[in-house]
Amino acid sequence: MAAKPWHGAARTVLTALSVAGLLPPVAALFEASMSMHLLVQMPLLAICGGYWVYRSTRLQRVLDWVDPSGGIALVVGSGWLIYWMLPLSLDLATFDPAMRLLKIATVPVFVGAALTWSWLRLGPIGRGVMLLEAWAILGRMGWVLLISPVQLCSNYLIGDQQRTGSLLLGAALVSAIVVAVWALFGPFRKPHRTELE
Amino acid sequence: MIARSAIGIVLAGSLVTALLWERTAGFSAFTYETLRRVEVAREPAPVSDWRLQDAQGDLVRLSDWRDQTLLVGFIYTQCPSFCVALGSRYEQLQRVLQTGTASDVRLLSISIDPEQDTPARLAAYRRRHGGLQASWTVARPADAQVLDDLIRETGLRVIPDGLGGFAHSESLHWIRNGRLVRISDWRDPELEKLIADGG
Repeated sequence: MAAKPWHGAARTVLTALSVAGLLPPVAALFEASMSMHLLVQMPLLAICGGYWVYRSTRLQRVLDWVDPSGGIALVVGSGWLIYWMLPLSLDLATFDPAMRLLKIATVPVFVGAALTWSWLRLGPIGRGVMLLEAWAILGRMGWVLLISPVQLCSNYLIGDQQRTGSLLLGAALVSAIVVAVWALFGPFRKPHRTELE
Repeated sequence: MIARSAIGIVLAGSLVTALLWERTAGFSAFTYETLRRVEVAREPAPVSDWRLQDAQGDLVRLSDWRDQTLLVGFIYTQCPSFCVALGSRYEQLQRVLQTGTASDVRLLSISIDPEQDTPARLAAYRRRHGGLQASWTVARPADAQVLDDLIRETGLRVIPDGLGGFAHSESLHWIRNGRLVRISDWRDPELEKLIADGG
């Protein structure tokens, strides 16, 4: 049986609502713990925006005119990423409806789409800097959450906070290993390793 | 094109910095608890006339202490950690009240677990910490509505701690003339001085 056209649209709407945490069971799941909120929902929201930039040539044409170097997107994306990693913002998004809406509306665009655009525009060195900075953010945040003796979010217990810290450090470590393997054995290696420059 | 990019980047950078500045109260508040403190210091928040039941079982209201500054801490008597520490801290502060002329300040501990914390338990809590009724009132909200009101008006966050108790704000709230005028850390060494100065 051929898929009806509205099936696709319905699936998109359902996915969007789920990622946004607007369907009650998903909302409870996403915001119930700090690790789910920071490490699952936030990345999902950002990936939605990134996917949009990646797939839409029309959007790429607009961005190409607005920000041909990808620099504006990099600045906006980094700033907004830092803002949403603060305990303050994470906390407010769990009980302040305006902040929840701000998160759903802006994280895909100003974090996901912006960082994807700058990634697409940057050369290998720029991308390397982005990766290093990403690991630095994960490491710093992870470390702070892990060693802080006080509960930083009023809505998340300290045990949850420490677990999130460990997971952030773990994410940094795993991604660094993956990238290192990719750099050593992937397309960037020199073709003739015996030849020294 | 480079000039246009550079201008765009500088503009975007300024915009993002300004936004972060605004959202974090001038890069001073990175947690909700600090934001509460900064906001109250900037603009004292009105609180309603909470009806409470004290450790003697009597009904009291905030307005009963209209001429005094109240130093309000939130507790529950079964709390194993912070509320014990806060009890000791209040006992220290009470000594300042006894020695000085600082009768303008009154200590008030309010239970956030009114169902469990009967007047008898509240009295036992104060007795455990050597508290005196003359300068330290321990009370619970008279009904569920009052509990809702005081949580909403102070911006307090109370969540279950997974062990049958609560995790809640460790701040102390200064209330004067029906307004929340300051929020302090309970460990703040300035508290003694503030109390001696009448709040």
